[in-house]
Amino acid sequence: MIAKLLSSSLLPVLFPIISGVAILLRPVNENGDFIHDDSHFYVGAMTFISALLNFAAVYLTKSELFILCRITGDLNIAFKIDGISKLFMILLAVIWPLVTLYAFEYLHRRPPTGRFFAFFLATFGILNGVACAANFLTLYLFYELMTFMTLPLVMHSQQREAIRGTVKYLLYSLIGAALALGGFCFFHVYGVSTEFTAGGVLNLKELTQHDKDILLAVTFLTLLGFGAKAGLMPLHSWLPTAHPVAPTPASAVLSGLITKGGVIAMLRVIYFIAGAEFLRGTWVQKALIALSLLTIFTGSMMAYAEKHLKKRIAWSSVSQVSYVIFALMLLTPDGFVGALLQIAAHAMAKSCLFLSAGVVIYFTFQGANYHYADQLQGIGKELPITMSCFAVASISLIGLPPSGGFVAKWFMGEGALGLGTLGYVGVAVLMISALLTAGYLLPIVADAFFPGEDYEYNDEASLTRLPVKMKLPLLLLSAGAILSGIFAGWLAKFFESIAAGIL
Amino acid sequence: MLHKADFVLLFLVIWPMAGGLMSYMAGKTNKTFRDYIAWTVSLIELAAVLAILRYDNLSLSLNGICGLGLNFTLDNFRKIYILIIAYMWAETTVFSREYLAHHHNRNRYYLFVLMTLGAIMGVFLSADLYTCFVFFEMMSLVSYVMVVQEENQAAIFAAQTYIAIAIITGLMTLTGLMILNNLAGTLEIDKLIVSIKNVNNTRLLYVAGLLIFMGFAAKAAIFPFHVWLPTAHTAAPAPASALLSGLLTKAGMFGIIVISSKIFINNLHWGIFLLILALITMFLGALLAVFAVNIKRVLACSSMSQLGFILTGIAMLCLLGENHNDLAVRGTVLYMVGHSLIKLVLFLDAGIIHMNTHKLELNEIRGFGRGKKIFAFAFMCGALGLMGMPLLNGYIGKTLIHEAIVEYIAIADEPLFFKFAEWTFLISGAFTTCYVLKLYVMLFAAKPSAEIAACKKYINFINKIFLLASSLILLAIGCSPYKLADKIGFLGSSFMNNTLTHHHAVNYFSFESLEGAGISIGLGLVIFFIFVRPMLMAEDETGEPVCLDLWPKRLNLEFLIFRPLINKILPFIGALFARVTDLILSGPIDLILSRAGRQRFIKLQEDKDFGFYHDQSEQSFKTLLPSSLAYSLMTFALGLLFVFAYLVL
Repeated sequence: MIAKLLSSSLLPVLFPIISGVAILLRPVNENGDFIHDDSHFYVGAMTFISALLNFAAVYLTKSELFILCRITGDLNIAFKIDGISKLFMILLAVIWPLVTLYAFEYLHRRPPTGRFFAFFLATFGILNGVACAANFLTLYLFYELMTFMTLPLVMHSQQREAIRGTVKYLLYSLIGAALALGGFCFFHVYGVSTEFTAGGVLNLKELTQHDKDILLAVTFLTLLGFGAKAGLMPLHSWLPTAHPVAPTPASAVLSGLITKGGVIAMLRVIYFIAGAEFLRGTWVQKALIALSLLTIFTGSMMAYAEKHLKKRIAWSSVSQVSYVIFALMLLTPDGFVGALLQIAAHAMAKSCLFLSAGVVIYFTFQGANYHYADQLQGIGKELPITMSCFAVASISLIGLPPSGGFVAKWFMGEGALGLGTLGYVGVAVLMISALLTAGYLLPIVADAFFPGEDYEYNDEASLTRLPVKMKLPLLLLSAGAILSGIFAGWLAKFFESIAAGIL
Repeated sequence: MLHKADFVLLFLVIWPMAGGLMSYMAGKTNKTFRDYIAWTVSLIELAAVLAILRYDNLSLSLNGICGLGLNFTLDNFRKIYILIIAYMWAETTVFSREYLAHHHNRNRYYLFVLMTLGAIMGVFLSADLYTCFVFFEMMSLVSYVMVVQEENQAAIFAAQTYIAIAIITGLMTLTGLMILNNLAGTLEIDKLIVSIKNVNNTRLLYVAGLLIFMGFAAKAAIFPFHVWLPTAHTAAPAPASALLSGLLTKAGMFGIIVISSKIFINNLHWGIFLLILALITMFLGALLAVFAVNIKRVLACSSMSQLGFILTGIAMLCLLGENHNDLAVRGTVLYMVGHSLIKLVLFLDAGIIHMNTHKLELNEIRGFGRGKKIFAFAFMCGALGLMGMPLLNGYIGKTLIHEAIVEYIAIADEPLFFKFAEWTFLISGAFTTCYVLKLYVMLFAAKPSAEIAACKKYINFINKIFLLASSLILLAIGCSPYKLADKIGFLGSSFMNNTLTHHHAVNYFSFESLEGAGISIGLGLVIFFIFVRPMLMAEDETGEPVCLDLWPKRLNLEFLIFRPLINKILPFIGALFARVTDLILSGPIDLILSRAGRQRFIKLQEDKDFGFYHDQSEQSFKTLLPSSLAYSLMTFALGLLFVFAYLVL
C-alpha cells in the first residue's frame, strides 16, 4: 500500500501544496516574517521531504495511470510518470531544496518571508503536477495554478515596479492559457482522447484535409499559448520585466524551472497530442522554428545590450529556453535529446547564475534589488567563490566544453543539420547566440576577477565570508552545470530511449 | 584489450588539473610549499610521459563522457609532442618560481598554467576531433588567465582580443565539426581518410573544412587571425609566453595537420589556399618583427612568422600527396619541434632580462647580454637556430621544407606561383636574419648603461642548468642531422599520412641543401645593412645604437577592422534589429498595459476600510474578520464546496 502510494505521483503533487498551505497558517509578525525560530526548520524539512518523495516516485514508479478524480465524461484529473516527468521531477528535487536553503539566508533582509515560503513550497507541488499530468485537462489545470501560485513570489517586494511586473506576467500568462484552452476544445473534439499518447491522439487516416488545416492552426495557437510561459515570441515580453523584480531565489526558479513548465506543456502538445508525424514538414513546424530562432537571436541581442544585470540574465533566459523549443520542433531524435539536455543544463546553470547575482546584491548593494553589469569591477576578489560559480555557469550557458550546455548544443546542431536550409540557418543562429552569450557574460567575469593593477586589495580578514546556506547551493549547482556535461553520455542514452518511444 | 598503461593517457590529462587545484589549496597557506607542489606536479607529469614512451599503440576510450565519449591514443608523432610539452612545462614551472617571486596572484597563475597543461595534453592525445575540440576549447579558456596574469592595461587588452578570437573561431570550428560528423559519419582521425571518400557533397565538405580550420588557424596565428598573438605574447609573463608561443600555437597546427592530411590530402585548392595564407603569415610576421622595438614583441612576431613557415610545410605535404610528401612531412615535424624548443630558450632569455631590469624595450636593455655567458650561449643557440644556420636545430627543418617546395615546382602545373612561393620563403628567412641581427646588436654589441651593467647575478643555479640543457638540446639536434633529426622527422610519417616505406635520404651538407640557407642568411645581411641599420636604427648622443619605432600605429588590422566591426558595427545592427522586433511583437500589449499601469494602486495604509462593510478600523483583527468581504466570500465558497462534494459523492 505504502509502496503503491509512493510510486504514484499523488504525494509529490499534493504533499508540497498541503504543506505550503500549512506554512501559510504559521504566525507571522507585522512585517510578515515568521515569529517562531523553528519555522525555517519546518519549511526546510517539508521541502526536503518533498524532494525525497520525488526521488521515491521516480525510482518506484511503474508508469501507471493514476486517476485522481473524474470531472465529467471522459475527462479526468490524472497523473502518469513517464521519462519526461522523471527528468523534470529530478531537476525539481535537486534544485528546489537548494534554492530554498539559499532563500533562508537571502530573505533575511527582505520580508515577508512567511508568505514567500508558503507559496514557494506549493509551487514545487504544482510543477510536479505539470510534469506528471497525464492528459490535457490536468496539464491545463496545473499550468494555470502555476501562474497563480507564482504571483506572490513575483510581487514579493510589493513595490510599484514589482506589482506592475506581476500584472504584466498575469496578463501574458492568461492570454497564453486562453489560447491553450481553445486548443484543448479542438483536440477534444477531433482527437481520439485527450490523454497523452506517444505519437499523438489524432487519427490521421480519418481526418480530412480541411480538418487537418484547422488542426494545424489550432496546434500553432496552442503552442504559442504555452510558449508564453517559456518566453517564446511574441508572448515573451513579460519575462524580462517580471523575472528581475522578483526576489532572487524566485527569479532563479522562475528562469530555471518555471519557464520549463511552459516547455514541458509544449512538448506534451507536440509529441503527445498533435504527434510528430502530423507536424513534420508542415508550416507549423517551420513557423515555430522561425519564431524560436527569432527569439533566440533577439533574446541574446537584448541581453547583450542590457546593462541591468538581472534583466540581462532574464533576457538570456528568453533566448536559452527557445533553444529547447527550437530543438523540440526539429522533430528528430537528436534534436529531442538535445532539447532535454538543454532543459537540464540550463536549469542548473541559470539558477546558479541568478543565485550568484543575488549574492552580489546581498552583500554589496544592500537594500537594492538589482545592480548593473559594469558595477562589478573586482567583485571576484571579494566574493571569489560566488564569482567562480558565476563563471562556471556562464561557461555552460555559452556552451563551451565540458559543460552540459556544450553537449546539448552539439545534439541540437546535429539534429538541425538533417533538416536542410532552415536547419543550417538554425545552427548559424545558435552559434551567433552563443557568441552573444559569451559577449554578455564573460566581460562580467573578466572584470570581476581582473580589475587591473590599480585595484586596491582588501586584506584577507576583512573579506566577507559567504554563509554556508548560500555557498552550498552555488557550489552544487555549478558542479551540476559541469557534471551534466561530463556525464552527458548516460543522460543522452536515457533521453534517446524516450525519443525512441515517441518518434 | 585494455592495457594498464592505457590509463596513463587519462592520468596525463587529469593529473595536472588535479595538481593545479592542489597547489592552489596549498598556496592559500604557504607560498613556498605551493611552488614545490607545482614543481612536483609538472615533474611527475614528465616522468609519466617518459614512462609510457616505450609502449606502442596505446589507446583509451571513455564512452559517454562529454556526450559522444572521449578517445585518446598515442602514436609516434604524439609521443614526441607530449614529451616536448611535458619537458617545456616542467622547465617553465621551475623557472616561474624565480621569475614570479615578486608578483601578485601566483596561486591563480599556477592553477591555470597546470590546468592548461592538462588541456593541451588532451588535445595532443586525442584520437578524434571531438575530443580534440573539447580539450582545445578548454585550453583556450584556461590559458586566458596566462595572458591576463599581469593585469596591467596592455595585458587586459590583449586578453580581451585573445579570448574573443578564441571563442568566435572556436564556435566556427564547432559548426564545422557538426557538419563533418554529419557528412562523414565519424570524427575519428584515423578513419576520416577512408570515410571522406564516400562524401558526395564536396562543396559542403569544403565549408566544413574551412570552418574547422578557423579555430585551429586562430590559435596558430595564421593571417588574418594573428592579431591576438603579438600583443598577448608580449603581455604574458615570460614563462607563460614561452608556453603560449612554443606549444599552444602548435595545438592549432595539430588540428590543421589533421584536416590537411586526412581530409584534403592531394587537394590542389586546399593546398594553395594554405600556401597563400602561409606566405602572408610568414612574411608579415617577419616584417613586423623587424619593426618591433620590444624584445618580447620581436619574439612574438617571430613566432607568427615561424608558424607561417610551418604552415608552408603543411601546405606542401598536402599538395604533394601521400606518396611524395616524405620531405614535407619530415620538414614540418622538425620545424615544429625546433620552433617549440627555440622559443623556449629565447623567451626564457627575455624572462631573465625582465626579471632583472623590469624592462623589455630594446632601447632600455641595451647591452644586457654582455658578460653573461650562459645567457649569451642560450641566445646564440636560439637565434641562430631561428635563422636556419647549419649545425643548429632550425636548419634541417627549413631545408627540408625548402626542398619540398623545390620538389613540387618540378611537377606543378603553374611553376611560376611556386617559384614565387620559394622566393617568399627565402626572403622571409632573410628578414628573420635581420631581426636576429637587430636583437644581437642591441643586446650584445651596444654598451650597457651603468644600471644594466650592474646586474651580475642574474639567474639562480637550477635555472642556469635548465637553460643550458635546453640550449644544448638545440645544438645536439642540429649537429646530428642523420642520427637524431631524421629520426624525429620520421616520427610524423603515419600521423601526417605519408605512405612511403623507405625515405629519401637528404644530404644536409651538400651544396643544394646549403644553398637555401646561404641565400637567406646572405640576403638577410644585405637587407640589414642597407635597410634596417640605416633606416630603422639610429645613434644616440653617446654613439650607441637605438631602435626607432617606425611602424605606423594606425596600420593595425585589429584597430582598423576587427574591433570596430565586433564592438560597434555588428552589435549596432543586431541591437537595432532586436529592438525593432521586440517593439513590434510586444508593443501593442505593452501599450495596453502601460495604460492600465497608470491607474492608482490601492495601498493598505490609504484605505483601511477597503473590503469591509463599514468603518471598523478601531477594532482588533479577531472581531474585524467576520465583518470583512473576504470572510463572506470564504463562507460562501465553503458552502459551495460542500454542495459540490455532496453531488460528487
